[in-house]
Amino acid sequence: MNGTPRGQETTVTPGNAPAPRSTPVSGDPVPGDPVPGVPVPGAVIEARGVTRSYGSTPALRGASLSVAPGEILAVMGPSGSGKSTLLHCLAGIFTPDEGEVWFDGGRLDTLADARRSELRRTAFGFVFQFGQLVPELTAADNVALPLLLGRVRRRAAYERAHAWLDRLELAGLRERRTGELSGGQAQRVALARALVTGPKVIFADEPTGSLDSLTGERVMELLVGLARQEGTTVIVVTHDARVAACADREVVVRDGRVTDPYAGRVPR
Amino acid sequence: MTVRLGLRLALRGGREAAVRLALVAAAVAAGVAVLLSTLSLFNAFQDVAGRPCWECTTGPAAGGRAIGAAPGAVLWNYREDVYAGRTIKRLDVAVLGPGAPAFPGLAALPAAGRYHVSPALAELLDTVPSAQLGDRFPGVRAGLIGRAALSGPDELAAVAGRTPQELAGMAGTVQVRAVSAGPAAGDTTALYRHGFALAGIGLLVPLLVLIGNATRLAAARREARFAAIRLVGATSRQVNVIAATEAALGALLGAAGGIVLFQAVRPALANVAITGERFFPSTVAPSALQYAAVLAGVPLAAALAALWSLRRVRISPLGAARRAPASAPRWWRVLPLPAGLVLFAGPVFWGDDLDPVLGDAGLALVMLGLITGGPWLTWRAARLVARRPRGAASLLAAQRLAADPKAGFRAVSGIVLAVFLGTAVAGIVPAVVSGQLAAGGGTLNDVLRASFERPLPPDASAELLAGLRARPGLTVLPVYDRGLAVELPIPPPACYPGCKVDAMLRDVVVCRDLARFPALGGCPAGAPAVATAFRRLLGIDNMLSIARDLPIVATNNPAFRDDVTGLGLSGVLVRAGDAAAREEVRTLLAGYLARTGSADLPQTFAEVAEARAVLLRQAERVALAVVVVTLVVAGCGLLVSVAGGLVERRRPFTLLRLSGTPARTLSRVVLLETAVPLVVAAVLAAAAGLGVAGPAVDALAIRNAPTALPGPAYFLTAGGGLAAALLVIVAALPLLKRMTAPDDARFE
Repeated sequence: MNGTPRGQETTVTPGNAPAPRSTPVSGDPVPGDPVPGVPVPGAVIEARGVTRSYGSTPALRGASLSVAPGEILAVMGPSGSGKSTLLHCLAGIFTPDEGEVWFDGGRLDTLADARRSELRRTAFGFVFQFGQLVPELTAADNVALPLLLGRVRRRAAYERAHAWLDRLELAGLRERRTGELSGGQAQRVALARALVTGPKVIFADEPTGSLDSLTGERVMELLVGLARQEGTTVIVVTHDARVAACADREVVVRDGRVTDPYAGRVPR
Repeated sequence: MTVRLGLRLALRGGREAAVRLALVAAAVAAGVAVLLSTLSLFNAFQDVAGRPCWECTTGPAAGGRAIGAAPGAVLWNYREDVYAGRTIKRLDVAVLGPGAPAFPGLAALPAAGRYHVSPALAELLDTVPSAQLGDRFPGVRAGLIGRAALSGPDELAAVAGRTPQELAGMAGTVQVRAVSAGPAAGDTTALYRHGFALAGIGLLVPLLVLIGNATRLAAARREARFAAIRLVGATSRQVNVIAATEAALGALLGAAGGIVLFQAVRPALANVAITGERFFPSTVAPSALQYAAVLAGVPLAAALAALWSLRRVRISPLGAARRAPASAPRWWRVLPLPAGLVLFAGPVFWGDDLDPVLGDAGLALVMLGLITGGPWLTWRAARLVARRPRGAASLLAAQRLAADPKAGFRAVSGIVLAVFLGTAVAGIVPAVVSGQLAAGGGTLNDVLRASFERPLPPDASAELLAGLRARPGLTVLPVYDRGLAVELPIPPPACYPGCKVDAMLRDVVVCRDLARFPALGGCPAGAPAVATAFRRLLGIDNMLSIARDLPIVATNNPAFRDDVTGLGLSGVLVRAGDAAAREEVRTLLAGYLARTGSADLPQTFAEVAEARAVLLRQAERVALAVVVVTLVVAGCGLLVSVAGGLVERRRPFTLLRLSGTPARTLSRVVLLETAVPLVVAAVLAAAAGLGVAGPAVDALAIRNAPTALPGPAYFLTAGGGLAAALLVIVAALPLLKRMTAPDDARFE
């Protein structure tokens, strides 16, 4: 995956997004369920019967979910339902207590920490509510950081970082430290950083949670638009129905299980 | 690339990163400056200890034939003179022929009528009337004695050339063919080395604590930053490299700053008379290797400290989490302390001597116990306060200390060792000094003692005793040499455990003479004279050993015949209450001592005690100097720790202020958090110090010594140090008020 914004070569729009798959309610096997140890054909990332507890408190109780390449998926649910935990399991940040996580045809949950770090650097991008940028670094440094960690040459890394910052209308803020940016600007920097490596999947956890509605809309517009241009899969955890509305599909996490709110209905 | 990123974060990470870097560098610089100062003083001391001890040169007594030409030989007469309480080392030499031995610091020994002096003596000679000093050195001042022969810039020394005839007539003149080039073999060197070793241990802990605290500055923010870096794909190893690089950079800058700071204080350091005299300024310097070791070792230690501080922290992409919840310290952490005290004091308690190996092991355990037991005691104290808090401040402080007593104690751990070592030394020295003067109930203090190298011939002995007895106001105790040929009863009676009777009981004292010195003991009933081991009393320069040997004559000493005629003197004791009479006796004895080749000066027991006391006070000065430098380093560590804690808790403190908590309450929280472990630890350390001092004093078997408390210098140093530590905290409080101002509240 090269680091040049791919929008010029590929255009993926909501119209040509893959058809959403119906996600079965966790724990209820149905005909056509995935075979253990074999990836679901066509899914870029997939969780199978994932459980995860914090001490004695279960957060996920056999959650299953698969996401197609280029799909934009909204994960909704009440507070404490386990949606962020699911996102972190899918991103390889958490290792499930039980179950499997598959990415790009391979098991993710069994990978060593170093390999999962490499995936976060090269194949995943992250946009969180806050705390994701390094405050001591400038906007350009932050965007170039995953490339520098991946031993991309300094000059090339900054060229790519500058290109993404320009594309997100942050050209004048390259040398600003993140503490000197507004919330919306900081989220756009985070977006640029998430996209700079040309990831296959972007994980977004309440990306507009700390922003006012207008700024939030602008950030989502950029996230969705760029993801479609780049053909990047986006999994966005949100409370906000307006954010979920930008997605191709939405699932709800409730009591540690994934449900499809439109199961049985005609797909949108 | 990762190292570069670490450097980038430390150097160009904005104002907060710059402040953090500056704080780390400043703290490390202070520590390094103290370390280099200690090293340089040790080097200077080593330089003095290793200089050729020309004063130690000995040779056979010069007879009449020594005056004749003898190539390569000189007549040598070394003695010590005094001017206004200052000792002057004086050597009179007469070159007997070509090829005279080389003398350190002089191109050649002076010819008759010429003399060389040390620079300090030259200055003195130029400033005081010659009748007071200059006239003591007849002839022409030919030049200065070089550094190689001197211990320091203030040493007063003179090498005067004389004719062989002049010197041959002087008491104590010997003929030598080579000047001693080896270092002086004195027990004080070992004492000082031990002192510097203790200083090293005492400094090492607070230095490591300082570096550790410095690298932990704003740890929570640092960990949050590492989490953000992990999120974008950095491996744990890369995060470790970044953390180590940041810490090493701050420490490197601090080490370089410390070297600069050291250069600034070095001139003042040369004026520190740690052994009682100043060192040559040029010797008060670390070696190139030591500079290199500091420049390499301190950053390395900082990098390791940074890695160590991360070992219990799992930096995940979502944030930092403790690998294990901080459990309350357990009681067994304090066990090394009593174990060490038992090891140290046990043998004394059970009536044995202090075992050096067990003693050192005990000391090490006590120090370990202070460090490991401190958190437990802090926890106990915090729990106690938390049970009945007197307000919000004590509740907050106590609960925080109870939650993480290790961190609370870590900040003051350096001070603990300083207080322990200082108290131990300051507890021992006054007792030993007072014990020195109290030997024999103090009744021997005005008694002059003289020991002859070889027994004084019987006729000379009779002559000397007649001379002494002719003077009014003197009480004389002749000590005769019975010779080994004189048989003792078989089996020989026991004297005291360990003594070898046949070798030791060489002396004879007449019982009626002995009766005038009751402190020395008494004869068996009816015995006219007894065989004794008096020589120990005459030769030992430690009054504590003498006190241990008293009474030197007991009822089980073998009786000797009444007639001591025909026996030579091995020594003599003379009580002279009057100072002038004492000097006359000293003068009289000097001639007889020289006749037997004895280089010893007749001294009163009080003078012997005082000579030892001077050394002990010097050792105490070294110890207190160690306490001072340790307190300086520990104070820096405390400052860093307090400042770091404030930065760390800016958010909760600001929230407390936002919710109406007065700044004064928060200040009290910070003050209590440091003061509680500080006071607990200081009291514990002082108690442990006295716990070590007590058995040590007992082991030295100091009899008749009044209980001696540490002197004012100790209270000034330790008390002042603790007060300074509290001031450090108070000084940091305005920072708290500013940092937590509600107007500046902005967290994300």
